[in-house]
Amino acid sequence: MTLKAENITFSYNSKGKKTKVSNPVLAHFSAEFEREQIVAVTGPNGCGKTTFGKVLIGILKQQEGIVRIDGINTKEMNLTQIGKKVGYAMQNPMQQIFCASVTDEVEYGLKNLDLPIEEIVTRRDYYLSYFQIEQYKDQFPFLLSQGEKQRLVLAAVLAMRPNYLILDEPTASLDSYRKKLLGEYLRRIVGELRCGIILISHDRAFISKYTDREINMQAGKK
Amino acid sequence: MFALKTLDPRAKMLILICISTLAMITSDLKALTILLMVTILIPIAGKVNFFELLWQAKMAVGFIVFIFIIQCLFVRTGIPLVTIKAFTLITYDGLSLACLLSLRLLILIISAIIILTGEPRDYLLAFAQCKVPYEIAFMVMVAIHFFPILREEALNVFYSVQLRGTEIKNASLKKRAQVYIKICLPILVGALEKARVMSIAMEARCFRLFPYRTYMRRLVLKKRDKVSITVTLIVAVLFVGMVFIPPVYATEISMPDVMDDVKPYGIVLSWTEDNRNTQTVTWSAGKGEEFIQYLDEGTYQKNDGFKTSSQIMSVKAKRIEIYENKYYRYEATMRNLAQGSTYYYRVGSADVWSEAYHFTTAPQNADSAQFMFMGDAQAEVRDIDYPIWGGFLKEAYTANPNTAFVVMGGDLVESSGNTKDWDGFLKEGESVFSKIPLMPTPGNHETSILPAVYLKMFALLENGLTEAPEEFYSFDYGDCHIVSLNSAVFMSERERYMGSQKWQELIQKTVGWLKSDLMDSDAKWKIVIMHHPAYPINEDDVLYDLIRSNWVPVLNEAQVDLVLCGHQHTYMRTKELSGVIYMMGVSGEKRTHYYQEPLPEYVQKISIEGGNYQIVNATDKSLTVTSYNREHQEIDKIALMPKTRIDKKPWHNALYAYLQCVLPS
Repeated sequence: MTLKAENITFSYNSKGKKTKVSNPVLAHFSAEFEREQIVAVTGPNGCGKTTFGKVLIGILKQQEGIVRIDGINTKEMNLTQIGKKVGYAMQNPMQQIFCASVTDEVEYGLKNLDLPIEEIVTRRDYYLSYFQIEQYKDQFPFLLSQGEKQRLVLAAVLAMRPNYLILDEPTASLDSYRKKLLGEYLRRIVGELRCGIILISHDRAFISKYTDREINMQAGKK
Repeated sequence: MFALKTLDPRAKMLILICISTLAMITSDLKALTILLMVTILIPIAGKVNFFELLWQAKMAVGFIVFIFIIQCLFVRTGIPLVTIKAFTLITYDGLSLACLLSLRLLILIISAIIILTGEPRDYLLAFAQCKVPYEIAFMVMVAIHFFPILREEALNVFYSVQLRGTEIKNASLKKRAQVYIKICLPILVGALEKARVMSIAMEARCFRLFPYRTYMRRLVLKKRDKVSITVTLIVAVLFVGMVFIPPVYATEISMPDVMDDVKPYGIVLSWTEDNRNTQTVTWSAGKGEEFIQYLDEGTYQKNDGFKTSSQIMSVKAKRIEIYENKYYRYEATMRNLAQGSTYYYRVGSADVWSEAYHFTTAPQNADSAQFMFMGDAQAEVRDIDYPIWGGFLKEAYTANPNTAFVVMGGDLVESSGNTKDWDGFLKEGESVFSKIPLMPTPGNHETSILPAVYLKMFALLENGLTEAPEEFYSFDYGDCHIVSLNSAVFMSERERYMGSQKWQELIQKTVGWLKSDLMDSDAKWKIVIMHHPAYPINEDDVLYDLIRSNWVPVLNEAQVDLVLCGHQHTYMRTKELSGVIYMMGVSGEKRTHYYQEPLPEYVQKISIEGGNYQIVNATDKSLTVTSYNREHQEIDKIALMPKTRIDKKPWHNALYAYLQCVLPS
């Protein structure tokens, strides 16, 4: 039971043609992520961390190589099926918020999972309070501050309790107290829910404190 | 050629404006196709990786295909082209509209590629140097710049909606619409936020601190830019000229090289004056002095033909230049002939004479008259179809030897600018038309704007409109009054050529002339010949409506008995419509316009089995019209009773109308 990238090559210039891959961002890149682990993906700006995250989640399609989620090739799954197994929080929370209120935002994914209503309410209230945004629950989410938006996105994604989580710079706009909350929660779900977490980050302190393993993308390049 | 990338942005903008304007103002498919080719050629010649850019625009191309299919399927007017089990899938109108729209869209999309070869800041500079206020130019550029960013954001939202469990692919339309609305919200908020942040950032960097701006760089027009601009303007003007000023002869022209020694051929009898004592002959021959010689029957027999020169009467022919130094037609009229008498004649010059033919002038008071009507003769395959038609004509005349003359309803030839087509028709027709007159009516195939070549080929009566000599005429034979109308006068080419107002005036004049001509005639039978049908099998041309609104009221008022026409390559007869019967014929090989669709209720008889002709027999008791097929078997026959016509004098009309109201019927 792993999330596995095998020999991935991806370039923004190839326009879907397999034969002509020029200037690749990822060249024959392989990595494996187990459940019950937090793995940090690090590297300097522009080395392809976010691209790698998008390839893993299936938003970007690699020209070569295979991504397998629990053994299933992602090319045979649609985004909805992937989304049920892998949670993804983008770098910019603005593009992941699309509901009219904070509550709706957290409920949106839960409703799609066909959970019983009591479960939805329990989870919603739990995540709103855990990430300390319950005081805004009837607000228009676009009016929140950047850090609050980020917490909202984390709450919305984590509430779905996926097997794997890809978090792209989740700590960028968080204060140290909220970072601690996030870190502790991540550790907890790794244990309780057997979740595998991929953390794309520059935050050295956060990485050293909470992660089990680090993949440095720059170091891997020849 | 130089790279398009290095061309001045102003020149590129001009090219774009010219192409898109031309694409919008033309609806001629040929012109649009040429424009599309030019639009494709510019980036290719300008060393742009055209096909890669086109690949990026594949979504748009898909959209065009979609538009094409929708137009094809939903436009229901016009000639059906593809029919599946009585259901018409594609019509001519649908297909042409689909082609028009997709060509236009394709041109617009491809012309945008030309603009894509430049840097946005160059266009900003170009705008500013063209005196567009900098703020506006800047705004436009920012807007264009933001398109890809907004697109990416929209996609990201779209992905996150799916990742959080909403299926899009198999979702219902309603559900999908909800998702799209959801996507709009963050995009809109994001765009507003970006604008706010950007304006702060710009002001923080002193945007509009001073009332005017200076520029580090200035665009200078190089020689190649000036040349490009000039060429673009010239080509655009030429293009407009080509599309909107149609050439006089758009049809194919091909002619024999030398015609000097050509023996007379294509002899056609017709009437230009009173048919009881004159006879006109036209023929083709090489350049030279041509004559007609003639003798009355008795002298001809006595002299054993034209062997002795005594008593031979001779008329010098008028030479008509169809194409200068290429093709000549000759015209001569024999006058002072005795009515109802037979004459022998031959045409040519001292060296070369045609063989001797004979004809008979119209009698003073014929108690009966018989003539033949033939619809469209035009041939698609010149060398095969004209001989077939000519054979058919000969057989028809042999089967009906009492026929006094032939009237034809237009579309005699396929391409009226092509003398080979005319030769096909005239040579095949000679054996009959040298014995009995042919009185033709022009059709759309004789017409480019005017039926110019047709009018030179034939000599006809000029008793119609002085503005359009020989296009409208009438004559009497026995008890018949026959009117020939050029229905191609309603073609839009003529309206465009004359200007709408003058054309309207001409149409009004045709109405006036037709009315006075028909009303003034005392003939028992009134017959009208025109090419286009007033009542067609299907409305595949807007022209029919113009005939109905302009001429049909006059035909009804004058109580015309019979209207003979062609055009739809089918035999068809209507029931009596306000007292008038409309009959359509075809004598050539062209495909019918009838596609098994439901027929209008007025159609009483139809036959699509191919060529046919009509024998009209007029006595003082009845008018019989019999139609025969290729095998000379009868396919339809009608007999009409004479009409009690109201007297033509206005006060008589009023009295008659009054009495009709007052008296019990």
